[in-house]
Amino acid sequence: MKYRRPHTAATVAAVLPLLLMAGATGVGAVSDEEIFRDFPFNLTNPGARALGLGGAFISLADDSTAAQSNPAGLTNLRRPELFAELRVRNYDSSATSVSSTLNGSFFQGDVTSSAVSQPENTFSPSFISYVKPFEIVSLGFSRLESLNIQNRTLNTFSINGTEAIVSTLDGNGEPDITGFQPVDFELTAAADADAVIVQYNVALAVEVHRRLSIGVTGVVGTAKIDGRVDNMFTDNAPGSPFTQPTLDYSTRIDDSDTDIAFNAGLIWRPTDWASIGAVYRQGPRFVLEQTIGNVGVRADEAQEVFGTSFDNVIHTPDSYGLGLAFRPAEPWTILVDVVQMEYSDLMDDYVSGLNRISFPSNRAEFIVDDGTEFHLGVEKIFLSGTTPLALRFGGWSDPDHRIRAADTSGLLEVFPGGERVDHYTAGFGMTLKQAIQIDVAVDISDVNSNFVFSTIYRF
Amino acid sequence: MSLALAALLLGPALSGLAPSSFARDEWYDHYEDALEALGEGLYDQAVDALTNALKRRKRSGYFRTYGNNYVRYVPHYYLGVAHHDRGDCPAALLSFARSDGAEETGSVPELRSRLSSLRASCEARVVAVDDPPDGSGTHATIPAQPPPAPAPLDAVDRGRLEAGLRGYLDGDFERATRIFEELSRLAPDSARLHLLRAMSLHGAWTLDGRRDDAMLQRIRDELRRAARLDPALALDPALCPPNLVGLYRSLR
Repeated sequence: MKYRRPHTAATVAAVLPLLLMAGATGVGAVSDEEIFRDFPFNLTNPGARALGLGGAFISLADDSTAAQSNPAGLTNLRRPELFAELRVRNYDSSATSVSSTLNGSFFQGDVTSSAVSQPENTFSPSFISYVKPFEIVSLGFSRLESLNIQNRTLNTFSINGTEAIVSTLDGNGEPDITGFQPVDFELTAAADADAVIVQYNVALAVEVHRRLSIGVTGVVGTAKIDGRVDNMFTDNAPGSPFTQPTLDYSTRIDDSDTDIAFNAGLIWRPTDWASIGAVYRQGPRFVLEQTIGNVGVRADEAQEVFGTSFDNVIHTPDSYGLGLAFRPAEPWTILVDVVQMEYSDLMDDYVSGLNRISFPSNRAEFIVDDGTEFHLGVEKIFLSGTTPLALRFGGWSDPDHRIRAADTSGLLEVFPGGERVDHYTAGFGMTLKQAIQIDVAVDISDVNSNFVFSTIYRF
Repeated sequence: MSLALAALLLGPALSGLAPSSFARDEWYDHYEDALEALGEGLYDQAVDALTNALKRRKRSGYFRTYGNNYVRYVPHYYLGVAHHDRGDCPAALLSFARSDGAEETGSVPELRSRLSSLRASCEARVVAVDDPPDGSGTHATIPAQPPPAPAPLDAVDRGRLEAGLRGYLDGDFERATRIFEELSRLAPDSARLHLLRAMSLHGAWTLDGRRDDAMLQRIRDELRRAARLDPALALDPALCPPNLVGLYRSLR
């Protein structure tokens, strides 16, 4: 039996302003389903040293993380290096709830919206590299984990009141309300997703002049996502056959893909105490198949709109940056980076209409703005005997890059934009016996915190 | 994707652009080259590399190379080692004196100990009198306790002569040159004094990086005068630097 609540859409639209989504910390992609809006890509420069410096490293890049931060920096190295980084991502579980009483034309009653996000804290070797320098050429091999997330979300919308019965439009095109009926239903979207994106890099750098180096990195990216979203509803209205949670429609992704991209950079050292760097990073683009489940009250409608399966695209944002480093005095280094992030790449073939609220309208428009990151870092070296010790402080400003509804879609209150987030970083490092370097750093913001440990072994 | 493949091919193409003769030119590059050459017994190469390193960084100490890497930079010490190992004791003693002046080995017992040992070895070679079997004594040696010098050196103050010799051995070439010039005025026909002047000038010229052509000309002039005054005068290779010996032979 096909059950339809003809006024559900009107009711939901009426309560839209009060429906809050869970706070999205990442850049989101794939589709407008909530689970994917929380994908926290790791797009900052790897290494605890770079992190402690506020992520500013483009113009310095003088260790084996240069394969990712600026391949031209590989020419700084004189001995082969092996680098490894462990990153602890501490995601705060979030739970938000909003309740309100509405008294409108189409709906009068109580509306409650809640969202719970439970990402698992991850601990993984997020970057590993090996660099072999030759006379004026350096070669680097590295692996970067740009995404590693295991998240569970539950979004619930409870609507309890009376809604207008609208059967036709009157002569003026206005809805003809013929009466009111009680409504008491609940919409939920329960989702979980495991997503990993890894890049394998081969970097080559050349010192074309004592003061100028250029480099290029070939990137082979792989993405694997295993996720599901089950959209349920419960209708407690008298006579409803759906007083138990009933599957409305569901989606699945269990797919992987590979793409090739590249980074390129240069570093110019006009003086012994200053350097200028520039880098372009092309983000890999992955196409993953998402399927619409055959089971559900509105599974047929979902398949009618989206097909039984469709391609979902994750296009890691391209970026290009400029950096400046200078040493006002021997133990001090000051770095500034400005990085333009092309977050609009995330909208490549973006699929809308699968969210609990936007379903089934795949014409809903979503946008995300490109943004500019600003990074600042300071490092001071102390010598304890012959052991260099480094203290680092910095910060960076992360622009709003939440995918939001376009103003014209009527969904802006539901899918609002975010805010620029400021990060504060600190780090410490030491080099032992001119062969082993150990660095630690922490990045703290209102949204999350990262702790990174990295080590370099020089042969 | 085609753009990415082009970028991958760009890398090897870029490596072909770089001039093959171009070598890394930071002070620590030359310093590392020098240490490597020393380890392989290539002393001339080590001396050249250390000289290049000194042109780029004169001060000794503990300095950053790249990243958070530091290296103990003691070029004068290693110059002394290189000179010692290739038999150039005056240059070695000079470098060791410079190393002391720069306090290169003060806090490193193993370097200090080795420096002392090598210096003693050089001083022993310098003070050893090379008496040929026929007793002709024509070799220009610098004894620690100078024996009575033949005329015309008899005319000079022996104390001043010893002071000049001490200055030379201590690496104070300015002082040594000044003393030998002063003594030369008193004994202008002394071939050995002109030779001593040439040696002290040569030490200063070497220390200055061998860039002063005018000083090189003065050295040649002194050697010519010495050769003219005493055609049988021969330089002791154990005492005089090889390139000075070679220069003297080329002028005769």
